[in-house]
Amino acid sequence: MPQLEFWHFLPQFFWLAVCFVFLYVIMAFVALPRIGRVLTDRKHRIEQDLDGAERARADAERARLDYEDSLEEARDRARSIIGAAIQQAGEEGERRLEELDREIGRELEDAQRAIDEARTTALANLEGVAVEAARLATRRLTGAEASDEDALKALAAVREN
Amino acid sequence: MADDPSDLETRIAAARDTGKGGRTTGKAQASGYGMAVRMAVEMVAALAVSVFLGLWIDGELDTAPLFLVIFLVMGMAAGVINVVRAAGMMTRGSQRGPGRSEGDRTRGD
Amino acid sequence: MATESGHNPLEQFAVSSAVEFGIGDLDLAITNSAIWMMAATALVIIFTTVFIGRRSMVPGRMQSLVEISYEFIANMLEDNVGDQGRPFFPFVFTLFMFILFCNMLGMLPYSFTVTSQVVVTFGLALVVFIGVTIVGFVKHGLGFFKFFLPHGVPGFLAPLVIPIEILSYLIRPVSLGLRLFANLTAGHTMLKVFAGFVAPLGALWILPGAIPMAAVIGLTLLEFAIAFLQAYVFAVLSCIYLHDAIHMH
Repeated sequence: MPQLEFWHFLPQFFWLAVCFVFLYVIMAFVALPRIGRVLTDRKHRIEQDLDGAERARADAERARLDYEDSLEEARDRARSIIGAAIQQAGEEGERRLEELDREIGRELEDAQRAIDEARTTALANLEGVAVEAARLATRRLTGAEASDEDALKALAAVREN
Repeated sequence: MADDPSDLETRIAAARDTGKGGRTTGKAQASGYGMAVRMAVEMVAALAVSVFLGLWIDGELDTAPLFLVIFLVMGMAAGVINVVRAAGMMTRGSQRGPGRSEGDRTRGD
Repeated sequence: MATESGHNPLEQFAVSSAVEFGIGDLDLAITNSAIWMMAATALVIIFTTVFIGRRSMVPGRMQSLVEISYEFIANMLEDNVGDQGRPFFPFVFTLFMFILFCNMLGMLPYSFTVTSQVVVTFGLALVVFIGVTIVGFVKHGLGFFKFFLPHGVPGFLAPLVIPIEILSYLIRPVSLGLRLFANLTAGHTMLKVFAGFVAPLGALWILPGAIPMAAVIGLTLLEFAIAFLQAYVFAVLSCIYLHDAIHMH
């Protein structure tokens, strides 16, 4: 095995040490800090961007909720106005109906009273006519003069039956 | 309006996850061949060290094969321990990786 | 990789001196192996610095590859060591990238595989071993010796358990270096053996040459996987050892 020839052990080890130490120094003080910085920079940047996106999303969400709230509010208001109008209109109608009712009732009463009056006067007239007719009939039949009282009495007796 | 903001939310969450979860834990798969090579290497190393130490002490104390035999026996035991330990550690090392919580891993050097 | 047939498949691992160099009596010649180490070092530096140059928000393909490597190692360290492993991130990253690039460069035809050299893999393993041990002692002082007596072991077993634990600790760097060395050497030797069959059989007849050719293609793909996997295993094991030194089991 050529790897076990002793003569090259020392020179190989020496150059291995040189290369390794050199590489370590470059890595530790130049390359790795730079890569690490690039990585953390990017991580922060992505984090920031994501935060921004999140914030924008939250804003949009809030705006949407606000919009929905105001929409709902407007709808509520419209509904209450319509309800109030309907109620108002109903009350008005009812009041008018009652008024009319009352008016009609009053007119009805007036009419009734007029009719009653007319009937009593008519009845009173009728009595007068009947008394007159009874006296006339009495005179013609008997030739006697009947007094009003008698005629009235007779009339009442007739009406009894 | 209905351009669903909930979809955006999941997308942002997904973007965050990819930023974190990208772990590459290379797992040395323990094939039969690999296991055999590992054991052979470990035992040969144990043998080499114990023969070297045994012969050296025997030479110093002029006790010829006594320490060689002692070291050979102990070396085999140590070799077996190393094989078992290395196998256990390799699997532990690779299993521990993905299961752990991703705390603040700012490696800002 | 497929050079002239009939060559020894191990010849690809031969180290030769390219530039003579030395300090005093020490021979520090720049070998072909050293040249490929330097190439890997240079490529890692280019890979990690050039493509990251423009600080663009949307990374290009190469830049995201760099970033993936960074996060891959960072996660590996976090998973295996925890927060206290952070100071060792540059070390583990360098280790992984150096081994990975050496392995990958070894896949080029006519190239040299640095990580098939015993000195290199054991050197790296030794660096990890010594470093981890120092971390353990700095962190826990002499209390780090308790590491060699696991919890729950009854006292009378200690004289048996402690030497075995110490031995097992000493075996770690050897197995770490040996694993990388063995995997790379075995893979490349196998590739070379099969590639050696392609030319003579192909000269005979096209069909028989196609069979080892297919094997070579399959093996090459497998070797790419192994090149990555071994760099990964080396880094993970280093992390686990680091975890042990910091947390004592």
